[in-house]
Amino acid sequence: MIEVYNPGLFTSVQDKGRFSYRDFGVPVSGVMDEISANNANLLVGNSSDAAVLEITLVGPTLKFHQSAIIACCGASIALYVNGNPIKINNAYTLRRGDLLECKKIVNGCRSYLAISGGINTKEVLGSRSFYFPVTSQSRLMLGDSFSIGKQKSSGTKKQNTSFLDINANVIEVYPGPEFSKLSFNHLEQLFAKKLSISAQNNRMGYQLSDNIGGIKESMITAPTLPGTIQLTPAGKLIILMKDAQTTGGYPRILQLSKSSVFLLAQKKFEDRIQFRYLG
Amino acid sequence: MKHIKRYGETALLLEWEAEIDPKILQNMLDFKKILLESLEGEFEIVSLYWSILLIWDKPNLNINDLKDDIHALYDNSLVNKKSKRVVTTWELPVYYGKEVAWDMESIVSASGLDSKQIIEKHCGATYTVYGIGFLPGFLYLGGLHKKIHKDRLAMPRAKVPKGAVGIAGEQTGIYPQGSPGGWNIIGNCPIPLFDVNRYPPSFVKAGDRIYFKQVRKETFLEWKAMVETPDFNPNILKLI
Repeated sequence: MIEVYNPGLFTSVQDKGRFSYRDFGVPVSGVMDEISANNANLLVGNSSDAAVLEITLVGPTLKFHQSAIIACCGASIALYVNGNPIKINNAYTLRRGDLLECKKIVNGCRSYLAISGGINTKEVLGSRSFYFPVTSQSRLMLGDSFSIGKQKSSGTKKQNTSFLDINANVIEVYPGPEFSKLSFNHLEQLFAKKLSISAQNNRMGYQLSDNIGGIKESMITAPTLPGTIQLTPAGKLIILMKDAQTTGGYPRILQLSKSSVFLLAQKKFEDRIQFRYLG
Repeated sequence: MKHIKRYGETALLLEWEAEIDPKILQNMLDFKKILLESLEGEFEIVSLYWSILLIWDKPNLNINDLKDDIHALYDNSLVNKKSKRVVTTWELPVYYGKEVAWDMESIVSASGLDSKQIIEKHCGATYTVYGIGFLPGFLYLGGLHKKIHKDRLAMPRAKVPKGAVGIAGEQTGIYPQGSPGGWNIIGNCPIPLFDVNRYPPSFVKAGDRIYFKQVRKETFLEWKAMVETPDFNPNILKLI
């Protein structure tokens, strides 16, 4: 059993996501940076389906009431076991009574803590990914506790084969369903220079600070995907992420590549990104 | 089906004629059923108004082959026109009392009708479910009487209660959970539209029809108590 002594800023249990319920209006949720989450699971010998903790900017403090193997991947975060610093991208065996402190993220936005056996919170609609009110909470709270699954008997921990370059800032995009509604002026503003992440960014979406001018015609509500870039009538850009509503009434002008969604999940307020058109 | 558009790396968007029309919806939903039954492998389908979004996870799927397969399936399906889809009609109780009808007065002002007439028009229509989205279990309903259309509030409320029945533009709908919301609230429906402990979690599906039935406060409270019991089965709301 693992106990939450400090929940951190926004820490949630996430797995690969909640599929087959988008047609009922349930967002897919799941880890935002799949590469880093997968690397953490690999290091502790978990399958890629295992649920992990997604840490945002400031991490949790966890008391381990049983031994377990842990690893943390993604953004650089200061980690301590019983006050002793440990490194990201490495697996460590913790013993019963150990205290794991995940402190501030210094570069990037999200880190993934994998624990051997996987986080064993309740599966709702086929997934452990937190999404309120489908799950009873949206994030870890002080005093929460959770169990972990039985450790895999093989015990071999694979090596990471690829890491996300958190400092990269090129976001690759394909045309979205309403791409043809963009003017040359829009295209110039979208691709000729870097754009800024606004303070409004979270698991539902990332708003950009720049205003590129809106499109006049309104649109009926239509299905959307994580990675869809919407252009509001006011001229603002919203990049939908994993907890975004499954439908939306703003033009879907561009669609991020999957790997660019992972990279965007590592961006935060005032970071600048450059869109690259993949056609 | 008018065309198929690429939508990123692992999705295709199938679009029908851009009109809110039960016949177009029927054609689309019939094909949705065929797609679900015919496509091999793991696909997810989301449908709303005149769009079907087809989503998959496998990175190496040949998209051009898939597009061709879908076109062939569709052309084939037009030959066999009999719809095998089950359409259910539901009657949902709604309480329109003053304490829950927060925006009734503004619709009275805007429409020139009194609240009794507004309720009659709201209950007098057959609504078609064009899809589910916005919130888990939120039904997009078409068929609201023109006289009681009303634009959304200029500023949304921070909290609209679960079950709130509202009007926004030409749409009417029910909030399946408490949420911020900009709709004009005219009543409350005691039936839970989304329940994670049921399969499927939403008992209403796209293509179904809905009637609203005005109920007294006592009946509304009885319903509220009944839906909490483990015996509650939404099938008692089926009309046909």
